[in-house]
Amino acid sequence: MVTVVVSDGVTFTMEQDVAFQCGLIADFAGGGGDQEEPIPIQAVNSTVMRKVIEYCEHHRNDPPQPEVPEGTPLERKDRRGRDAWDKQFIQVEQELLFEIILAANYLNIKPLLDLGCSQVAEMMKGKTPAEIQQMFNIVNGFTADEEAQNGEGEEKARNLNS
Amino acid sequence: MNPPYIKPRVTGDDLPNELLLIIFPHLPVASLILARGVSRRWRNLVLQSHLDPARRSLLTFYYKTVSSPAFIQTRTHILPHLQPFNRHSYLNSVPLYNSPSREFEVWIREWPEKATIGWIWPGLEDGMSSVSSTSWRMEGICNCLGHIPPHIKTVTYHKRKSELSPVIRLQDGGGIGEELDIGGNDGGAVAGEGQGERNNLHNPLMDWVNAIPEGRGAEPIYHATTFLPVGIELPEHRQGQVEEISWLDEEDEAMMVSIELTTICVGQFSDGAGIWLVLDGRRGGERMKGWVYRGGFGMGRRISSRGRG
Repeated sequence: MVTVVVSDGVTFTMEQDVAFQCGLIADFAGGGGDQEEPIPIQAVNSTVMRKVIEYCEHHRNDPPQPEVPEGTPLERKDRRGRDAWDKQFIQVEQELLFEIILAANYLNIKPLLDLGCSQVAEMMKGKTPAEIQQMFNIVNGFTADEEAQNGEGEEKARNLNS
Repeated sequence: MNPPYIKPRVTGDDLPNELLLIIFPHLPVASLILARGVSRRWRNLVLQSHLDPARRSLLTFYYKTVSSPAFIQTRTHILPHLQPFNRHSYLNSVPLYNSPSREFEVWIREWPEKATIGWIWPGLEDGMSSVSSTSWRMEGICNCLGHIPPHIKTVTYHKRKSELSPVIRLQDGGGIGEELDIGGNDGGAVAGEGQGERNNLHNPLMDWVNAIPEGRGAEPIYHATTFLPVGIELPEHRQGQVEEISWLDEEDEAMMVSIELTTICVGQFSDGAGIWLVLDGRRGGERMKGWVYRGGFGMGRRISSRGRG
C-alpha cells in the first residue's frame, strides 16, 4: 500500500498498482516495498486527488500504452484512448478540469493529462476568441495594434459575408 | 469590459505554456486559427506546439492565403454560394483506391469554408455562370469536388506543336466523361464564349490548362489515383501559367503517354504571387511529381486592361 498526504492535510491510501500510475509517486517510492511515511503531494488538494485516484483505479488493469510519436494525428490517438468512461469522467466543471490537468501534469499521469487537454480542446471548438477569453477568464494582453490584426482570417471572412 | 467577478482558483491564464502546447494539437485547423486570436501568449504558442504536420502546413497556408488581396476580393463571389455539406461523409465517399493524402483529408475536414480558395470546394456547385467585378471575373468554373463522391479528373496528355498539352476530362459515373473545352492560347474554344473575349477574360481553372482535347470521345489513358497534399509551398517557376516538369519532356515522339495522374491539390508559390494546382503522376510504377498550374489566390484572374477599359 502507498499513502500520500495532500495540500489540505487529507491522507489517501491506495494499492501500489493504483498509485504507481502516477509517475511522481512511482519515482518517489522507488519501486520498493510499502512506504512508512506518507508521500507529501503539496500541489494537489483532496478534491482533485479523489478524482485522480478514481481515474487510476479505473485504469489499473490497462495494458501499458505504447509511446505515440509526436505529431501523430490526434483523432487517431483519441479514438484509441478515450472510452465512454473517460468521457463521462472528464465531464466536470471547468475549474476542476484545469485542476485535474495541472495535477496530472504534476503527478506525471500521461493518459489523464491527454484526456484533460483533449477535453479543454473540445470546449474550445467552434468558439470565437472572445468566447474563449470569457470562458477561460483569459486576459488577452494584446496591444491595440495586435487587436486590430486579429481581424485577419476568420473574422475578416465573416465580415465580408455580412 | 466584463462585470467584476471573483477570481476563481484556477483560470485559463493559470495553464502553463507546457500544457497549452499539449492542448493545441487537439484542435482542428479552424480552431487553431481562432485560438491564435485569444491572447498574446496563445498566439505565440500555437505555432510552437507539436501540430500534426498536415495541420501545420494548412495553418501556414491559411495565413498566406488570407493576406492575399485576390482572396479578399473573391470572397463576395464565393461566400453567398457556399452550401453546407457533411465533411465526414464526403470524405467517406472518396473511393479508397484514391487514397487521399493526409493533407487533403484535413483540408476537407477542417478548412474554414469561408476561406475557400477559388471555386474548388465540396460546398460549391460544379460549374457556375460568370461573375465579375471591376477587376475580377470568374466564369464556367470547374469544381471537381462539388460532387459526392468527388469527380476525379482524368487527365490526358497530347503532344501538340512540340509541346505536351494537358486536357481535362471529367469522369462522370463509369462512362466516358464529359469533355471540357478548355480555352487556351493555341486557339481552343471555350464553350459559350466568344472568341474575342477569351484571350483576355480567362476562366480561372481552365485558364491554367492550355489545351484542347484531340479525338473527342477517345478513351482516357490516364487515371487519377490519389489526392495530393494541400498547402505545400513550391519553389518559383517560370512566368508561364503551365509549368512542365522534365519527365514530360522526355516523352519524345509519342502522341500520347501513359501516365496516371492525380487531380487536386492546391498550394502556394514561394514568391507569394499565386497558387498552384498539381497533378501528380505515375508512370510504370514510378512516382512523379507532375504538372503545375498557376493561378491567383481566388483562382480568379485579373482582367487585362481591356476588361477595365
